[in-house]
Amino acid sequence: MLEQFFQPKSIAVVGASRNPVSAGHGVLKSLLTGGVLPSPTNKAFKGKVFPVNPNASSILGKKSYKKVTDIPGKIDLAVIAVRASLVKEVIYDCAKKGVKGVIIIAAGFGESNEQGKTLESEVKELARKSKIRLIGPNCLGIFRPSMNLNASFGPCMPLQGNIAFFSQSGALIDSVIDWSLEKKFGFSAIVSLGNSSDLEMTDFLSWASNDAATKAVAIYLEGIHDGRKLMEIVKTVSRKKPVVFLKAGRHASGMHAVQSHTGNLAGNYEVFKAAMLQSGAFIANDVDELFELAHVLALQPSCENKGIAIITNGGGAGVLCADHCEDLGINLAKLSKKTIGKLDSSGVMHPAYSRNNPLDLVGDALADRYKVAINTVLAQPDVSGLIVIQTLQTMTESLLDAKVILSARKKFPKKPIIACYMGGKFSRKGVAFLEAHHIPDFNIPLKSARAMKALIERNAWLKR
Amino acid sequence: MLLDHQESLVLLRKYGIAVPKTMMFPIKSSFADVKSKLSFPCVLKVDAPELLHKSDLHLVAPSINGPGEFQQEFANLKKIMKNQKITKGRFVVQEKIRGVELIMGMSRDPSFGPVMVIGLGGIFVEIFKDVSFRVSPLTKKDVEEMIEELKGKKVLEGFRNQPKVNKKEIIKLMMLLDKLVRKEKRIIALDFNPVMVDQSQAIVVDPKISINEGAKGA
Repeated sequence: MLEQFFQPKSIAVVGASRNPVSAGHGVLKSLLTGGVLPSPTNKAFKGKVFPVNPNASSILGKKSYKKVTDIPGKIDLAVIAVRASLVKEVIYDCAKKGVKGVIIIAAGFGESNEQGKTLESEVKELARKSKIRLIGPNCLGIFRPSMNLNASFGPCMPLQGNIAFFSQSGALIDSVIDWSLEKKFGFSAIVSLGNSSDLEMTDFLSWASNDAATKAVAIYLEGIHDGRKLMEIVKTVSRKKPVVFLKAGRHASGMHAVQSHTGNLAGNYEVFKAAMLQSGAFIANDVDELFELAHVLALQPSCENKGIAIITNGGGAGVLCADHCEDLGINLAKLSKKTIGKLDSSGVMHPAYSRNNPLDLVGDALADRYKVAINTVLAQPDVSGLIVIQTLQTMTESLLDAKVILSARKKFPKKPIIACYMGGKFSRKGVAFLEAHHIPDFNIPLKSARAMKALIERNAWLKR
Repeated sequence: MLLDHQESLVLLRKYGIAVPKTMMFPIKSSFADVKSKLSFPCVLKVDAPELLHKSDLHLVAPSINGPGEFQQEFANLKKIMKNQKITKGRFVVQEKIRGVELIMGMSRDPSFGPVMVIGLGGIFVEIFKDVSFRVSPLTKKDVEEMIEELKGKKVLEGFRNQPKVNKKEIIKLMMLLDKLVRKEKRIIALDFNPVMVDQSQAIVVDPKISINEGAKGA
């Protein structure tokens, strides 16, 4: 399904340009090197790449062809970066060549004016008749890091990971990639949908549901063509994989921009929200939450709302976190006599430790104390998940604590652990270790509690 | 256009939706014509096509406890109707239903189709907009969650001297309503305000059903 886009062996870049600030140049460079901007994630595409340009004999050191039909051998995918008025002719050539998929970068179609609308429906019809599947027009392109595939004019190759990101805004993808490199969020695929003339959100959702590398789906959505159909697909996909939505155009003020952007109307947000929650999806309020939820849901097992424990080296942070849990309807675990007994007799607890949930280990807690506390609490059968808070004290062993968390994660694979390393500069090593080992970590208790709530909701949906 | 009271009741009964015991009399009836058929307490209303465009004109006597009161209210309504030149329609007499007020409704979203709503009646809906939505078709679990989402849901659990209401009956009614709007495609919007619920029943007291112009009787 959609292999021509996600597993192509040969790609033509039509409108490959020598002008370094053009989209066509960006796409070619991205395929040949992995990205326009330098990044350690950049790698050349594993398959063949052919520039197409009627006026050049070679671009970026690659032999260039006048037309798609001049290229020797089979072409799976064509990225079309010529201006809108020239697209139809290129599609004719692609049809002759037997190309199975095209990505149309150019704007100036249905999103702009009546003339553009007509042109878009002509292009769509031509592609349909020629059995060519189409992404766009008016899009950034696609990314498939596992294939070293960056068929876009975005900044660079994202990290390989297990979140599929489908976006109706191309510009948002650019920034998300930049940000994800810092946060160490990886992607199984990123698709900029543009006007969704042919392939639309529901097609990519179905694809993601069957893609082995995808563990969660993150979606940025503006307009919806067919809410009913979206609902049905989300209902099916969310049985297999979590789906998180970020929807723009909640209020009338944002509507104008959205309409001119994707050329279709945004529906009523309340209705959208109800429909998606009913279908087992998650709704994020902003970009950070979109990826935080997708990340947590992709990496952690779902969680029964039996009892969540909080372990902390700062009393205040523990109480803050417990408050957020209560607000969100998360049940807090009661630590059993057996658990307290084990902690009492461990010999590493501070005499003033809280002996209650939130379990305050007191500020001078070193990694050995965290280790005993985490393992003892998780061993209590009715503790279904754990939030580990670390405030920064001068003696805190940030990195060792992170290692303790990772080993507990492996020892109790069915019980999610969410870290809350509060701080910045001095906690960085520990945070980097957690990120590298895919333990969700948040800087503030509220985000940790929200992440746990998402795992609880996921569990309730799967049982439904 | 709106269905009149008679048509609404027929439609609701067809789907097994409970409505109050109702009698209707021609607009020209006199007190002598109707008095032997009355039982109390009751509600007296005027159902007239002209009224659909006069929402400020509230021709309802909400609580009548005996024949004397009835005669007085009856004369009063007749006087207003004469002044307003209302000549078509009928009188509706319904048994007085008590309980906690809910609202239920449906509107059709161009993208998602029928959207179902439930809320607490009176000031809860008017001031606090305390309602929850779902897209049809509903499951029983959906309706349970919709009730759970209402901020004022305590009112349903026997708050102060109110009776604890029968949630099963609320769920049953929502499921019937859901079925109705899926089958009756000519309905474009629907409002039950109020629905009265108590320990044993959920009854639609005042249905307003808008249908697609030209689809009447279809």
